[in-house]
Amino acid sequence: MRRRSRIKLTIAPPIGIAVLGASLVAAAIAGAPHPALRALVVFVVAFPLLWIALATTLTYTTARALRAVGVEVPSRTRAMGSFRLALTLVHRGRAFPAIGVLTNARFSTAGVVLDSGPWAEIPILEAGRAATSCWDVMAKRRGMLLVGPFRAAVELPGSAIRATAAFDKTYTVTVLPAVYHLQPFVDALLAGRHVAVGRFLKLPAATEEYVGAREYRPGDSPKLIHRILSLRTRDPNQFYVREFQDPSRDDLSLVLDTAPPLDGDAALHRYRLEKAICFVCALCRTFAARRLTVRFVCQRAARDVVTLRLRPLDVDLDRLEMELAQLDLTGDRATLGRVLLGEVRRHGAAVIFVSLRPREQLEQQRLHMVTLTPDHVPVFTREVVWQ
Amino acid sequence: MIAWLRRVDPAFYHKEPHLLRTQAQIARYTDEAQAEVRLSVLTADRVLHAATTIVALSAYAAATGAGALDPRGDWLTVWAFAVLAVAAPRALPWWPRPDGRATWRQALIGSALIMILAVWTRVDPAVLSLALLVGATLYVARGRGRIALLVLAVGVLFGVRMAAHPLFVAPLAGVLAAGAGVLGVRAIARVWRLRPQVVTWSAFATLLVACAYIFAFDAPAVALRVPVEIAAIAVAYLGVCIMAGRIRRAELMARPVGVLSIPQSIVPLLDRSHHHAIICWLA
Repeated sequence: MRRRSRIKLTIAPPIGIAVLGASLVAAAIAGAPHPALRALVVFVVAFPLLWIALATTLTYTTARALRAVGVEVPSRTRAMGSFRLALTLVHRGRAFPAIGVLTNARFSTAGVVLDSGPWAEIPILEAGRAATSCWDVMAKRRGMLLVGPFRAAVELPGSAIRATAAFDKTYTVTVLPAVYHLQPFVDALLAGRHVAVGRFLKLPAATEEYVGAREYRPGDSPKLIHRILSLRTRDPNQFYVREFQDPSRDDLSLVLDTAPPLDGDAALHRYRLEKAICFVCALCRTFAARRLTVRFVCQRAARDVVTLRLRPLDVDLDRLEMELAQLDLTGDRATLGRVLLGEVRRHGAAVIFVSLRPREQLEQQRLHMVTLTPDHVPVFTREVVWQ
Repeated sequence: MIAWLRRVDPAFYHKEPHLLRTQAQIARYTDEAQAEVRLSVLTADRVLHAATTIVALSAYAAATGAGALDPRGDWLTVWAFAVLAVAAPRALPWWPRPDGRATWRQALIGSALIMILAVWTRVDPAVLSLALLVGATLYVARGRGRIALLVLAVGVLFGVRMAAHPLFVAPLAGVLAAGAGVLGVRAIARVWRLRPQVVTWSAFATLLVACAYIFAFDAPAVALRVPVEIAAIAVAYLGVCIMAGRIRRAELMARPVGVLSIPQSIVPLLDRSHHHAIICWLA
């Protein structure tokens, strides 16, 4: 799709205009009383004026003829990861090529605007042809990254203006949390805390759902034998049993602290949140790789507690990352306390609480859960992946 | 496990703040950085130097009426134009740093300017003396002395044309003209780093002022050689156009170094500073 641009004109520096104008006037006045010099005076005065007029006209018409026909930008990326950004311009003019086109993009994320980014040059763009400018962009801040508007500046030598074509469309890139690689001993967090992945009951309860079949093992209840599947086997001594799972029961509860500090360094607290978010993300991926079902809980806003049930599926983990990408320090202590109490009271799941406080609170010590403070995060983190 | 790590590396918890204090130094393609790189590109551009020289020499030929000015009668004017034609390009910011032979070279060029024009007119001891004077002046003027010489030449150009009371009015006119020239150059020098195309307009303005000077003071002599004058000024204008193109080329070519260093890459944590939430560099 070809989009028309908005043209912004930047006039040449006033001192240049003043000096040149005064010189033109001086030369004209000095030469006027001498008829013998008329041809010389006309040439001396007309040449710069014609040159400037031509360059200015070409600059403006060239900028007007530029169209943005394509922008290559991903819909999502990761913090600490870079992506290729490309803008394709087409020159719709017919007569003159566009010479020395400089292109630029504006980037903005929460509170940070990069407006003076590098200008990528297109030395010459023939009429009717297209050209592409490329940048590498690294987003270090999680959240929403706005890319655009794009600009293309044209200024022919001697022109009195710099014509900048602005293409107003803005593109949104979701910056997901950075990728942390965790130490292999992160499993130690579950040691002694988890009530095993196995089953308590020999027979399925009313709330359980059929999830699949597996080969019979000694100790399995004969009532669970899958008759149809067992009859299909060639070996008469081989049996299959049905498996059931309670969808309301999770293997692991992961609670993230999003409550802002009552006092202290806000920037430090925000930094801890960034670290905790990346850590929680990595933790969920690690446990999902071990076929555990993780229940992620955090407070997204006032009276808005998010609960995600993360099965070992990519779609669930992507949903988690999208949720984490938007998270901010918007929780409160009272809600957090209630959430923690509710998770600990849930049957069968181990609870890991990723706190933003440097020390475990007194009421948290009484609960049966693992509390990870910001100091613990580097212990379990092997490296941050720079992509 | 945590206790074990603490035993193995007791300083672990104290490392993090230390490592995080290490700031990344990343060029943001600022206007100043862009101007620095642009200047280095211009300094290395031999075509630009040649064009500048052509403009200066053509302007000299036009200003002296292609030999119409008498080196004996108007020796101060000829001296001033010769000094300006040789020393002014060398005072421009993109001119390469002078080497050991630079002063000899510019002295010889200055002398040659006078001698070449004298071939068309007449070679006599006065012309030779003027050529030697120009050479000696250019040889002596170095560093800040070259700037003083340019100011002096501008002052002389206007001072010698004041007929009334040469001891008082002429120096005053020279000082005023030189002061105006210095102010104009300083004003342009302040903006040229960010808007280098202002140089093009300044070059046009300089040629126009030189033409206005000869129209005002040497019109009868110039009227005899109008075609030669037009040719000389056309060459100078074309030289200015080439200069403008080379400057624009430098604007396109100038690229500061993108990412200088990212020391956080060795730290297994996020950048705490948030000073560089977005980094963009040219692909």
